[in-house]
Amino acid sequence: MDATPHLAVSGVSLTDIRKTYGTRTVLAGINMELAQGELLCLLGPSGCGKTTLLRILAGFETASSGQVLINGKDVTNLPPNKRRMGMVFQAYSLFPNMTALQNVRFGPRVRGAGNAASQTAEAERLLAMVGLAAHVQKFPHQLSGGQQQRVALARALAVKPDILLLDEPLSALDAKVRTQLRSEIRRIQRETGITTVFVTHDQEEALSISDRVAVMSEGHVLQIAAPAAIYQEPANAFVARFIGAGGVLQGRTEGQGVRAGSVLLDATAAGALPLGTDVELFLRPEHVTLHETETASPGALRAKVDEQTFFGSLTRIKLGLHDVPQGEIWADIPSDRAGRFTPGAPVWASWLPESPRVLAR
Amino acid sequence: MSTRTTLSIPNWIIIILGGLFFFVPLIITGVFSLWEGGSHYGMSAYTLLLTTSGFWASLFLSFRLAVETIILSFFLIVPSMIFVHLKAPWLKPLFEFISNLPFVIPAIALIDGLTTLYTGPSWLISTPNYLVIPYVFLALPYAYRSLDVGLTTLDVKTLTEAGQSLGAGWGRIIFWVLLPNLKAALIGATLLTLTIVMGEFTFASVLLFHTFAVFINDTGQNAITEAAALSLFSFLITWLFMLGVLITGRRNPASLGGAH
Repeated sequence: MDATPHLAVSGVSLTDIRKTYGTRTVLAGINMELAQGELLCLLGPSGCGKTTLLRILAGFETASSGQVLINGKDVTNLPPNKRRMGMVFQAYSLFPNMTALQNVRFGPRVRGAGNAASQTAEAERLLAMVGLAAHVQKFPHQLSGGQQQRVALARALAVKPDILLLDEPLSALDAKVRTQLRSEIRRIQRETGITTVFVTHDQEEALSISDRVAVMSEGHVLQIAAPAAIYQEPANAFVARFIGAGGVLQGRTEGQGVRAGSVLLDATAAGALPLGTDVELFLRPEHVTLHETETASPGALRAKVDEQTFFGSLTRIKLGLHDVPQGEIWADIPSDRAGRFTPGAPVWASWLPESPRVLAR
Repeated sequence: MSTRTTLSIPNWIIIILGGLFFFVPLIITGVFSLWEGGSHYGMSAYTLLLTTSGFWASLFLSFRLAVETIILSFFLIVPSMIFVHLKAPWLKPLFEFISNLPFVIPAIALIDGLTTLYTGPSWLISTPNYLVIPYVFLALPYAYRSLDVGLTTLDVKTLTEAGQSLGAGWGRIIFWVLLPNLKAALIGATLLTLTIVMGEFTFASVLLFHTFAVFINDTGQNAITEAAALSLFSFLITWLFMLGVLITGRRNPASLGGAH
């Protein structure tokens, strides 16, 4: 996957987008560039402003200030029906009085694109593309939630949009359908090459589907990068906490480590910060190794098993630390080994010095 | 798999008593409408009725006024209610309040107010068309409720935005998307309005227009068996409209859900 977008031809350009409701600032100066054909996920907790940003892109909300360019054209003040966009909504949004085929034909019909025969043929092609060739004559109430969202995707693509906007389209679906449809959205997006903005609060969804992820909080974009970079090199404590699971320990830098309580924790990254800087050390659970005895790993951190969470092939273990006053560590181990680490059992935790991320507080 | 509900004996007794309470007066009225004096029974009241001058004219007048009322009501209420549901939901309590006014304002006060307020062209003021104004007001609670239920069931905001995102303007969104999905609500409002206007007496009588309800009243004062026949005829019309409401109401309103 090419993580770096080709910005020479910008699909979407947002410049200093602000949105306020009275005294409340929902978006505080968002700047963002999307390459043509890129899929960007807006990821963040509820109320972070991601849906508002998407709605500004769609034209359903007006930015208090700032500029929106799509394929180089200023659309900031264009009404939604004058923008060339396709949108899939969180709520089922198919027109209940129309069949799947009529729903998909609606956009081309409204825009006067081609004649009835060509519109029908294109609608059938798109419905086949989303795997619903056998359901073209069904009404929305005859389709499952997943099928309805597929039709909604085909309908959004039928207008040959400059930009595809997906507003948590999978959140109402059950887990299995969600995973399946997620892959299909990505496949179709790659095939069609449409610049896409996907809003979600599900980090797994964002990391698995995107070219880049923009992590948002309280109206700000905190980090925008490829999924792997977001996961491995979070720009700040919020991103580190929000993306993926992990342990957080507080301390001060001391050479190639972080001093937490009476313990010096190995962390090469600490060397990049001045001595004595207050920091937080982030440690992913997959980077932590557990030992049943101290002798198995000299210098390992003494802890005890606080709780176990079973995830199928993996079991996540929460560790209570003996010599570190604040913080916690998690470790992922194969479930077939989890029986050795029962709650209350003493353990020793170690990690490679280059694994932790160290961020100034 | 369908399940059949069986009723207990007390339930049957209640239903039978209710049926008797409802049907016995109707049957007796029906029998009385067939009475021709002495021990003679026949259809003379009905045949006379159909040939009486004013019957068809008053029936058609009421029907025409009902249609005009429906058109004006929809013209005023449908866009307003879509606007309130989409853009100004905080105005809904105000709409609720206004829609309930016909229940609390006495008809005579309403007529007095209207005749003072509306002093328009003679084609409106001097003709039965004038009745359309109070009739719209009278039918408001029923038309409002029916449409409100329809709009609440429908996710108007999402459907509108979906339409806009596909390039549709307001006209197409209303006529291609919203109104077809409000069909049951619109038919319900239509039939209720029709029923109310066909049976409305006070406004027409006070304003001296000869509508169907006024005709029934006048007939009742001169020929009692014809009045009974007319009452049954009027009942029949009302039932037919109510049957229409029930049938359209039974059809599921537009649903955004699906088989999950």
